[in-house]
Amino acid sequence: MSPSKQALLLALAVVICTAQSFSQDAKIGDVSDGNRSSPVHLLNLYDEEGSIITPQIEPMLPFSPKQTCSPCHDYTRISDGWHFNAATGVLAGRRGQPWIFVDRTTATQVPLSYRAWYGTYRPEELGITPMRFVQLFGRHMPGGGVGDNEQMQTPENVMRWWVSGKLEVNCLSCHDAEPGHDQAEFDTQTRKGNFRWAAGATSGFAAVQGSARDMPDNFSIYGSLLDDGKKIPPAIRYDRNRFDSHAKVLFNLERQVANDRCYFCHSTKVIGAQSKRWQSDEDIHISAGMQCVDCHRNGLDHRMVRGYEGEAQEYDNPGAATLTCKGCHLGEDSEEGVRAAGRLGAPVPDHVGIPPVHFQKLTCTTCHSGPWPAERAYPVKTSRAHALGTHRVNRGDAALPHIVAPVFVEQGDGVIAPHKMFWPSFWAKIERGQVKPIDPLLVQPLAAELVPADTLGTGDWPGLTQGQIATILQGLVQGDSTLTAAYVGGGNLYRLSATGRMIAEEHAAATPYSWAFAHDVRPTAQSLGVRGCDDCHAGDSPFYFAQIPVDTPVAAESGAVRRMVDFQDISSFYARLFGWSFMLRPLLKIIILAAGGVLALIFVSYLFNAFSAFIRGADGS
Amino acid sequence: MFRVISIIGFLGIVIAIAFLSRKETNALSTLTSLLRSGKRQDLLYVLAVASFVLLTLSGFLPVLLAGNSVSGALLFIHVIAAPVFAVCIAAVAVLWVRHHRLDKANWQSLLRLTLLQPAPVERHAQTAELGQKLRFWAILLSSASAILSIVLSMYPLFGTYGQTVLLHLHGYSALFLVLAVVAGSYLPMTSRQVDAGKR
Repeated sequence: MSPSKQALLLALAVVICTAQSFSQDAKIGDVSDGNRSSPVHLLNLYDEEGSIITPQIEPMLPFSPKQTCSPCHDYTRISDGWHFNAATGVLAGRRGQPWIFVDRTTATQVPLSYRAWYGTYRPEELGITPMRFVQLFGRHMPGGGVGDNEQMQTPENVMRWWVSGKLEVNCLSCHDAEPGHDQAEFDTQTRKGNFRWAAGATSGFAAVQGSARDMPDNFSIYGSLLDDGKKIPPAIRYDRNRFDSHAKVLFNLERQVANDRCYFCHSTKVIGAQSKRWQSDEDIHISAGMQCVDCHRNGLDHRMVRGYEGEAQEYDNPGAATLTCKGCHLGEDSEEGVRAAGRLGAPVPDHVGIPPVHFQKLTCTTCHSGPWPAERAYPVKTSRAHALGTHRVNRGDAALPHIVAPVFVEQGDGVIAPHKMFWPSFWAKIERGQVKPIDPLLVQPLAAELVPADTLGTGDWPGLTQGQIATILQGLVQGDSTLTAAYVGGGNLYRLSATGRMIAEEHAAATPYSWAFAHDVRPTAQSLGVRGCDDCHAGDSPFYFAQIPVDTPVAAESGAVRRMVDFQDISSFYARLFGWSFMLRPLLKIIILAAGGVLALIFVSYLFNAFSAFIRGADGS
Repeated sequence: MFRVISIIGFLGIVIAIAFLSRKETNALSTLTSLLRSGKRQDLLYVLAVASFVLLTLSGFLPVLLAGNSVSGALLFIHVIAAPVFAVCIAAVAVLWVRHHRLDKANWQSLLRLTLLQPAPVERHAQTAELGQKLRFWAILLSSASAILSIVLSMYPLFGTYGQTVLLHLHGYSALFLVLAVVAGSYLPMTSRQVDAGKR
């Protein structure tokens, strides 16, 4: 055989092997045969070592979602989905809601994210290790991410990870339709360090007790001798009745994730005149019978469609374009030949009388989403920021972090969108002009002596004085003479001058962090502009002039406000003048209409004359 | 698209003026003399021209220079100048329309022009008169179109598509109006000194 034929055969063999390996990669649960009904999930439970869990074998170990689901689903691919991939360096996309680290004692509320969103800090900048991050925020994580990433584990925590186990992607967090599913247990277990037990605890057919955090580094899940009888080792008890004769358990799983599952992490409570749950309305889409995942879709890769304009181009995902507001309601940006407008029954709007410039300068959500803007932006609480839905939630309206909405902010692309906003507050060091947050644990001993305790349990700011800030700053410098310490809060950066005088100055690090939101969507009849132009274009309209409280822990400076227009690329004077001009608009319209009418009448009458003259000319008369 | 067409239109008219304009034409001096005359009709004409210049600058500068729609201070100027222009142009139309009625002689001139027949020297004056009248009607038509398209868009009558069409109509009407005015002021065929006798 000639060398060229040998090479050709070799290439063919490689192609065939590659094709085979690809076909083997697609697992049975990941390839639809076209049947739209949900398959029954009667499954053996596997522990993290891959051994089957049966009611007969003691100790009963926590089931591993990875091992239990992997036989049919590509766990690796799924675990790179949007909910899990923050720390993988994936394109961050539009700025979103960060995790907010809150510590009342040190007067801290600081935006954290593993994503590269401008204005956020990476947790390690505050000395927060992945393990602590999971303990702090695992409550509203569906597992995976840094909780399941060995490469991110810090050496000092290696033994603790052995004790706690990994926080694997918990498929049940989203897909479980079991009535007894208790996502709040995820919070309880992650705080206790019971990462490998957390999924089981939420499942509704198992109970977990004990705390891995209390266990020594040499703790073994197969049994350990403890020197303290009061400490309870983590252990799981299954409802044995749920096991069939083959040790299989019926999971009630749904492909189409129920809204309740999304709501656990994505709820917003608006604190205002109508803040009671029965007084507020659902998003119009939900009221119409839709589910969150009807728009926020994903494939096997679990890269959820976030639904903002430009996402399709950013992620090279043309399908995402059809799932934005405009994609569904107007059919814009859809692929050639695809009729996307009106899908799922989306009404195609007429927008009668609205000048097209509004569609260039505003997102759809500006007029249609969130609470109707009032004279002052509403305080809001969100699941992820305020631990809503967990057993440890502070139900007080003043509980930190202090987020307000809606704030109409001009985004980087020049388009105005409704945002949620809060003002970062944290202790910092200044290095080469850069403001970097300090680990709050370093500040706590200094602050604890000065800051009054939250005896009423409001969770509100302690109300710092500038003197207290100065004392803490001096304390920080005493601990590390090379440090240039500062405090960021209420839009200011506080630092001590060379003479020890307190200096407060505006600083970029103190600017508020905001992120666009899209829900709840209001119906057409409750959209901005429905009552006329002066819903926004008036001398005192909330759209431009609503008060945005400058939230600060510094008691003497509380009460300051900014105006909505301060976050738009427009001068307050112009906005007010433009608003006032609308008072003359009816008169203007009448004058111009009359003038145009006169011109039109003249033109038409002389045109008729011309025609009649032409006809007479043709007659020879 | 509108930006490109506008640029082409303005460039074309500038080139045409450079090559064809009559040396003696001086719009500013004409306006000044009209202003000095103190007649109401002349003042009206000057006011119309002034508001027209403001509208043109405020409307086309952001489009030509940045490709943006009118906003900010320019929008204010535009909105303030618009009713002034609308009233003035309507008044000018009412006062002048009789003198710009196309008659039989104009019709023959038009036929001669469209058939590209050379005009005898004594008929150059008729051709110029025809040009003057056509310019008047072009200004009238484009003004009416520009005014009505924008004022109708202010009423809740048209949806997004209709609004977009009206906005385009406003823009192109304005462009046509500007070109008609500028061409009429500078080019020999359509331009004559503002003939007081016809007013």
